[in-house]
Order: sequence, then structure tokens, then C-alpha cells
Amino acid sequence: MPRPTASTSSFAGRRGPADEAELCSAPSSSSAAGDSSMASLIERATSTTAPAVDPVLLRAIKSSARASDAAIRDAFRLILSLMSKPHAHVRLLAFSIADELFMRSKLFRSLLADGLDAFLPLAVGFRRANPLPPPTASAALLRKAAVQALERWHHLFGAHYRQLRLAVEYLKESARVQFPGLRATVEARAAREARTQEILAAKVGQLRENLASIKAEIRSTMDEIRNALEIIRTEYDKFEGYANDEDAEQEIVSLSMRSIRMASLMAGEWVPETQENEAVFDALREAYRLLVSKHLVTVQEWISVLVRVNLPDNRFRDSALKEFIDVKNEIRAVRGRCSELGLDLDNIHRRKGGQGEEDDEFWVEGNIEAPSPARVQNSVDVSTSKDTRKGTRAVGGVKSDTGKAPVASDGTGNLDPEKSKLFAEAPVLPWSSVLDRWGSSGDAYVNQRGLELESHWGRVDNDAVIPAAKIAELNVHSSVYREAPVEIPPCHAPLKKGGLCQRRDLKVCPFHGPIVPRDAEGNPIQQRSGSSDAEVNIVEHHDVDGNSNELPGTSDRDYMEETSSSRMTDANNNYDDIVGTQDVSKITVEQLARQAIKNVRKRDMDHKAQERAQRARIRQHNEDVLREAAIASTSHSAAAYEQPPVVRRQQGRRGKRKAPTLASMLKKKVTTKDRIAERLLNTRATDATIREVSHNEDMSYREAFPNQW
Amino acid sequence: MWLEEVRGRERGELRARRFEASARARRAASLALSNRKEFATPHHGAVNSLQVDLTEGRYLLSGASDGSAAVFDVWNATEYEAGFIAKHRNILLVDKQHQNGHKFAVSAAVWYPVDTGLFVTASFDQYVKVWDTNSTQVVMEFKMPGKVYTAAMSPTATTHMLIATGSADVQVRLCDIASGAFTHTLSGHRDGIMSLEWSASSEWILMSGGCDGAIRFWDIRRAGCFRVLDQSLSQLGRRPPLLKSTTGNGHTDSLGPSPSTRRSGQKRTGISKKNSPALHKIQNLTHGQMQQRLHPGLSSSQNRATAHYGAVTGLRTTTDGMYLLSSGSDSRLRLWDIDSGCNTLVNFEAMRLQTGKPLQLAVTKDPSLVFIPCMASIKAYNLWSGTTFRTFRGHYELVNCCYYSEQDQELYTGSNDRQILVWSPSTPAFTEMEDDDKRHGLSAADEDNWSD
Repeated sequence: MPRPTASTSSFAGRRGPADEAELCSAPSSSSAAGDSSMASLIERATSTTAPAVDPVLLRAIKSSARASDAAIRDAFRLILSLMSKPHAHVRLLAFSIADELFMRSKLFRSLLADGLDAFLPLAVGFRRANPLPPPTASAALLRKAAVQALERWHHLFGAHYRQLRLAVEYLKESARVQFPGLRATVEARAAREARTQEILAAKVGQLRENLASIKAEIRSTMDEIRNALEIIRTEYDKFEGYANDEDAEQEIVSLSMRSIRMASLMAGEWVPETQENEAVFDALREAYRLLVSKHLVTVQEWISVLVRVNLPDNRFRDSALKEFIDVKNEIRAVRGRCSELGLDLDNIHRRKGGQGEEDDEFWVEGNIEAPSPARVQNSVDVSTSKDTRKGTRAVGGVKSDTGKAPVASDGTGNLDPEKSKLFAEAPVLPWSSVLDRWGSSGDAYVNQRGLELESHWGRVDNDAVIPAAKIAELNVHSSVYREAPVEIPPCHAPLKKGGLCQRRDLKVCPFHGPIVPRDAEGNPIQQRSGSSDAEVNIVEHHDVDGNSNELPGTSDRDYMEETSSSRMTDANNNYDDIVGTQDVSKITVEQLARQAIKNVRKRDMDHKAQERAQRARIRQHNEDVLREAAIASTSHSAAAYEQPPVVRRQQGRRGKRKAPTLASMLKKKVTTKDRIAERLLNTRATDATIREVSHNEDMSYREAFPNQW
Repeated sequence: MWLEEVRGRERGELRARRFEASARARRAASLALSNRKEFATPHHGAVNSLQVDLTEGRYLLSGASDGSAAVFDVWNATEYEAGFIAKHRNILLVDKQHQNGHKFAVSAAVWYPVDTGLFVTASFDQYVKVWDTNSTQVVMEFKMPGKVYTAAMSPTATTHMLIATGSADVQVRLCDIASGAFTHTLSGHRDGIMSLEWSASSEWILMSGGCDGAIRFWDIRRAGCFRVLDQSLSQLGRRPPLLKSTTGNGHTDSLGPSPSTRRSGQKRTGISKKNSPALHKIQNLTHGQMQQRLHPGLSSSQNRATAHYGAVTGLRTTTDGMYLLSSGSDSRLRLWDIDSGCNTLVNFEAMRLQTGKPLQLAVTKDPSLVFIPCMASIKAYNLWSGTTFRTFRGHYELVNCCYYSEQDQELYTGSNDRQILVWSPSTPAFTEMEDDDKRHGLSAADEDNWSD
């Protein structure tokens, strides 16, 4: 016979140790032994704001109920009257006493079963006419406890009491009260567990056959990687030898210098991928990816399966587990070696997307350069040509290569010189809708589909037009930025063994420092003297607009002068001015520009960091508030007993605050949650109103102009 | 006490009938919610009507608000739960899915009194249908002018097969199963008819209670109603005094058109001796008012008499056919002497009755107890004193009907919570013993369990 311990444990769980200590020290329980009449005991047990019945009192109640049937009848009567009190907390305590007695006394069971139809509405509150009384927190607790208890009672004693079966059926079927279904969930979980075990066992059985092949496959992949690494290693050694000789090694005597050198070597321990070892690298990458994304995952899966499975014979499991862990460690080691070499999945990705990243930087730098003349010309050209209505569509069959300077195409050779001249000037643009409507000044029809169809959206105004002004407004030429192919110049630093360094790095060679223009012998050319070249260089390399790319700096000005537009000259003057100033104070401008970039970036970063910190603060605050609100389980429920009991006791002793009473629980308290809810409700309401108003406007507009939206 | 009776019977001191009656009374007095027997309800709505067939006393017919009617075997359980809980499932069900099923709530379901081959259902979809039990097909249907509130068949009839139907219409209609037509249309009520009851003593007498508060008596062989019960017309005690009626002008004899009531009049026993001479005067007075001949063509003042303030929701005659119980929406229960047509002034203790629906009352055979659905409970009253004998609690919503099976001394009740509950005589000692026999550790023992 199963002992009904569930109820006792649940009560034990509900009270904290501090609580218990408090109750034991309270004067009420000290006199509990003296007065043992049922009525006073129950009265005292239920007239408290404690979350659960005092265990001492409960024990006293039980012992006195055990003494005689009359006491049980008394208790039943009392509990029934307490259950009808308009205070959910009193009801909750009364119910917990009733639960205890129900689990123990047969007489109490039969009494309660007879009165169950009156008792249940008071405990569960399923009748809409009389729901559970305030405070809501206790009411929710009571309801939950009652439903749980009822389910337990039904399970244990349902066969003996028709009333219990009836109550459960009624609550389930008619009142639609949700039962927690604890028993059902436990059973379901057990069934699920069994099913998983079955599946796992089947998997392990499968593994028993496949173990050797899996291992062989992984081993072969790892061997492949090792071989590839060997090959690369030898090449790398060769390269290293090529980079620094033994005498160079000997030259570096001082320890600090050596350490610096080692650090730089470590930083640059990236084996350059060249044409010779490309195939090896590819194979290595392939194998690496296979190893990490497939084999490692499978090994981990198998380990988790083996850990979870529960077999009668554990020998195979243990051995397989051991092997898999070994394999996993091996894979880890190989991966470590790969990453040591800088060969990493991330690395591979970076190699592919690396250029874009670099360019981003250059783009910013290019921004503060003088505006490229070609670009100016381009933009102005669009606007002027639109004004002059040349009527030529540059779209036609012209190649859309943006980089090329305009050349008269073969088809225009036999035209009159004026026109051919114009053609020679005309820029070549990629096609866009602007060009599509180039020069046409008329209105456009809206509904011109070429199909005479009845529109199911409503009647169609066939004569609706988009006015020319509107079209002109909409015509904005846009183009996609394409980066120019960049030729990375070699380092060209002279090497000890003769010859020049052939490393191609963007800015800094790991061995020879920043890349500077050098002459044929590898001596750095003095930058400051060839400033205009550098300037042009920068423009050449980093300017955004492709047009300027191919134009040599010297011919630039000539070209500009050829163009006859007056605005062009303005722009030229501008440009000249800038160039002139640069000539005067070349050094400072560049430095200033760099400094400015740095400053701007730094400020930007600072600003961002500040913003982030601010946001973090706000989030933290919100979370705090919400957590507080969530802890007070329902709204209007910052009742006193939800404070930590220790605090309450201190308050009680000092007598500074009144001890919480049952009546105080009924008072509504506006919690943070309530305030937030109200705020939300208000904003939602205004939002909704705004939406409705705008929607109405929209609707009336649609009504008036059915086809013009 | 029980053993004494058995001994008395053995020694021949106790007559068989007395013995039986006392056993029945004892069992009826110990009714309680049965843990051994339960009906698994197939209904999805309130149970409105319950009746056990009159021939075998074996099949319970129930009609419910979801338009379904079901038949249960009261004797044989379909299955046993936990070894000893007899679960009775329906052996027949006609609901909306049935091709001829009722569309709306079934308000009354009654057995054909002669055998269990037919039953009748009346519904709010304005139809009264006669069903063949064996084929579960509709044999006959009658279209009524309004929602049908009640239907009744005479348990004693041998010469006719009439279904009396009361509907939202003011007329009582009698449907003849033999011809498939309405034979009578009884006019007189000023509002819909909530309850109908055939006399238990005469197959020609029909009593009807309407929403206008009147209870009318009809002799179906003659035109019009011959009596309207008046709540102000009362007598003290069960019967009018014997002396008075025999020495008087004997108009009561001419009043009662049925020979059976006249016969029953002869059974007036020593009870009348209790009546004090002071009461005789009152009786005289009341009889004086009855002086005018009332039938046919009742005088208008008589015609407007009411039995209840508000609608008459339930009617039930005692099995001997001498008394009529009526319940009204004024939450009163009245006991009428059928012979004299007087209110017997039995004061039934405070109760609250459902007002909107026809109620089905039940009376024990002797008659000593009456079972009344009072909101969510059923109350048993002593018929003669009007004191509450017991309150049966178990339903969770309003109770609509109760039926007392005389044969098994069981009470069946149907309620808005869809359940049909069985209240059977409880003999704790016996059930305990049976428990111990049958349980075999199937579930936790129902015993005291003090852990500390």
C-alpha cells in the first residue's frame, strides 16, 4: 500500500528554513501544547499570513484529530466554514489542513466526499458566479493546490468514492479545468525514455558493425592532412631559409632583438600560398574541412550516444567510448597543428573576402582626397545632357565597360564631324531607366499593359498618366560601384643574398617593413620629392571612381580643358586650387588628412562606445524592473509575505512596521508590473488611434482615387 | 430491527405485504449515491428526462438537451471498473447523427407503457417522434405547432394509444399512434403547457399544468376541461371528512367522472377521524363554493383559478391515483386531493425550484416520500408532513429530472452537468464485505492512515 507522502513533502517544500525558525520562535506555537482543542488549533493555524500552515500546529491538529471521531467532525465543520470565508489565503490554509486530514482519516474522507459539491467550488472557484476571493496570489495558489490534490485523491481513493470520480469528470469535461496531469506526464516521460533507450541501443548495435570502418575513414583523412602538412612544412622551411640565413641568425645577438624577431616570425607564420603549393593547400583545406565538419561531429555524436545508452553489457560501450575519445583527441591535435600553421577555416574565408576589407579602409581615405575630375565630369554630364536633350541613348549597343574613355565607335565613323565629335565626348554609362526615358518629355501612361483585361481590383482608368514633371523628379541616375583591379606591387627590398624581395604585401612586408617605392636597386625613393607622383598614385590606386583610374595625371588637365562645358571649368578651377594648396604645403596636408581620419574615427568609436554603454544601462534597468515584476507572481500582489522572511522578522521585532495581517493582504498594491502594463496599454491605445485615423484617411483617399495609389 | 422483521415473517406474525412494504420503505430511506453503479453518459447536454420501462423495470430511457436519447440496461453492467464498479453504458443511442434524429433538445422521452418495443421522444424542434427500439428507426412523427415541452402516455390505458403532448402552444394535443393523427385538441390553457400527467386510476383522465399557473383536468371522452385546481380552495388533512361527504348533497360524486375516483373515495379510512369538528365548517364552506355545476362550460371565475403563482413546472400523481403533486415556478410544491380538487395545505419546507424548465418529480409507491429536484440537489420530502427527509447532493449543476424505480428502490437523477446518477440503498456492512472480497489490492485501501 503506497503511503501518501506526497502531501507532506509538498508542504515541507513550501516552507523555508528561516520561516520555520520564525514560526517556532513565535509565541503561538509555544502555547500550542497547552490548548489542544480542535477549533482553536485550526483557528490559529489559518489566521496567519504565512504561506503554509505551521508544521507544529499541523502536527497538533493531526494528533487531536486522531484521538476521536468527534474531533474530526469538528474539524470538518470548521474547515468547511473557513473555506467559505471571503479570503483566499484563509481558504488556502484551510484547504491544506483538509488535504492532510483527507489523506489520513477515513471518516474525514467520507464527510468530505458527501460535501464535495459544496467544497469544490470554494476551493477551485470554477463557478463564474462566485470566483475565488482576493488576494489573487493566494487564490492562484489555492486553485493549483486544489486541482493537484483532487487529482491525487482521485488516483488514490477514486475507486471508493463516486463523488471524487464525479468531481474530476465534471471539472475535466464540463468546467474545463486544466488538470496538471502529473501522473500522466511522469508516465509519458518514462515511455519516452524507454523509446530513446531503444533507439540508442539500436544505434549502438549498428556501431558495433561499423566501428572499424568509421575509424579507418577518419584515420585516412587525418593521414592525408598530416602528409599535406609535411609537404608544406618542408616548403616553409625552405622559405624560411630563403628569408633569413644562418648568418642573419647569428647577427642577432641581443636577447631582446631575438625575441622581437621571433614574435614577428610567429605573427607572420603564414605559409604563403603560391602556385607551386596551391594543389597541396587545396587538398589540405578539403581534408581539413572534412575532418572538422564531418568527422569531428560524428565522433562527438557517437560519444554522446555511448554516454547516454544504457546497455546490459557495458564492455563494448566502454571500449568504443575509449576509442572514440582517443580519436577525438587525435582530431583535436591535428586541428591544433593546422591552426598553428594559420590554416583555419576562418583564415580560408578571410583569404577570400580579404580584399573587400582592405578596400573599405581605402575608401575612407579616398574620400578626403581631392574630388577626382573624372567623377565630377560624370555627374555633371548626366545633368547637362538631360538639359540639352541630346536625344542619344548611350545605351544601345555600346559596351557598358565604365573604365574606358569614350571613343567613337565604328558605327559612327560615317557621320558628320559634329555628331562624331559629340559621340566622342559622350560618356558610356551602364543602362538604367533614366536612359530608357532619355529625352522623352511626354507623360507616361500608367495602365498600359497591352492586355485588355478586366482588373479584379476595381475599375481601371486607362487614361491615367504620370505627368512629365513627376517623371523628371523620379529620374535619378544611379550606378553600382565597381572596384578597380589592384596590382599589388612587390616589396623590392634588397636581400642579403642578392636580388629583390618578391613578396607582395599591401602595406607592410613582414620582413622589410612598410612598402615604399623603390628604384631598380631596391633603394627607397625619397617620397617627398616625388610628391605629385605619390598624389597621383593614391588617386590611381584608391579612388572610387573607375573613370579616373586610367587617366594619367598629366593628361588629366588636358582632357578637362577639352570639354567645353562651362561648369566643367569651374570644377577645374576648384581642382586647381586644391592642387595648388597641396603644392604649397604638401606634407602637412597629407599628415593632417591622416590625423583627421584618425580623429574622426576615434571620436566615432568613442561615441559608439558611449551609446552602447547607455543602451546597456537601459537594458539592465529594464531587466531589473521586469524581474522584480515577475517575482511578484501576479499583479496587485506585492503582499507582505512575499518579502524574505528574515527581513519581515526584523521588522516585526523592532515594531517599526505593523505585522502583516490577513486584512492587509486584501489591499491592492500597485506594483511596477501594473504601472508598466498601464503605460503599455496607454501607448498602445494612442498607437491604435493614430493607426485608425491614418487608415481612415487612406481609405477615403482610395475611395476618391481608386487607381492612383 | 431488520432481523426482527424476518423473524416475525417466519413466525407468520407479519403479513407478506407488510413485510415487503417495510423492506421497501427501509431501503428507500437509506438511499445514497451509489459507488457500485454508474451510468456512463453518452449525452453532451443536460439530461431532461428519465424513465425506466414499465413492463420489465430494466431499461432506463434518457433524453438530453443535445437532441439525443439513450437506453441503458439497469440490471446488467457493460463492464466493471476496478473490479466492483459496475459501469452501465448505453445500449442504444439516437442523436443528431441519426438520420431521423432530433435537431434540438429532447425535452421528454417516455416508454410505450405496454412493452419496450416503442418509445416516444418530444423535442424543441417541434416534433414528437415514435421510435422502434429494436431497429432504432422512427415509426411515426407528429409535427407540433411549437416547442414540445412534455409528452405523456397513460400507464393504465387499455383502450387507447394516445400520446398527450404539451407544447408552447396553448392547446394540449393527443396524438394517436394507431392512426398517426391528432385525435384531440384540448383548449383551455392561456399559455404553453409545461407538464402533463395521466391519471393513475382512470385511463380517460388527463391532467395538465400550464405556464399560466393552472392545472386542468380533462376527460378525453368529453369536450372541455372539467376541473381547474384552485390554490385557495383547500382542505385540511388528506381527505374531506367522511361524514360530511356522505351526508351532504353528494355533488362530489357527480363531479368525478371516473368510476375509479369514486371507488377510491370508498377507501376513506379513519384518518378523517382526526379532523376536528371545527374544520368541518371550513370544509362546508369550500364545498359551498363548489355548488355551481362546472362542467361543461365552467364559469368564468372558476376558469381563471390558478394552482401556482407562475408556471406549473411538474405534475406527478401518487401510484394509487388519489393525490396529485405539483411544482411551480413560485418554488412551491402542492399536494392536491384529486377527488375533491382541493389543496391539502401540506407545507413543504423551504425549497428553491428551477423555474424555466419542466421538472420531473418522483414519488415512492406507498406513497411516503417525494423526490424533488431543487436546483443542484435533490430533496426527499415526507409526503404527508412536508418535512425534509433528506437532501441528495452530488450533481454540480441544476437537476432536471428524477425517477424512482420502485422495483430496485433506486433513484435516478439527471442534471445539466450531463450526468445520470444512481442513488441506491446503502447497506454499509454489506458493501464493506464485498469490498474485501473483490478488491485484491487493486487500489489503495480506504482506511485510516495516520503516519504520526
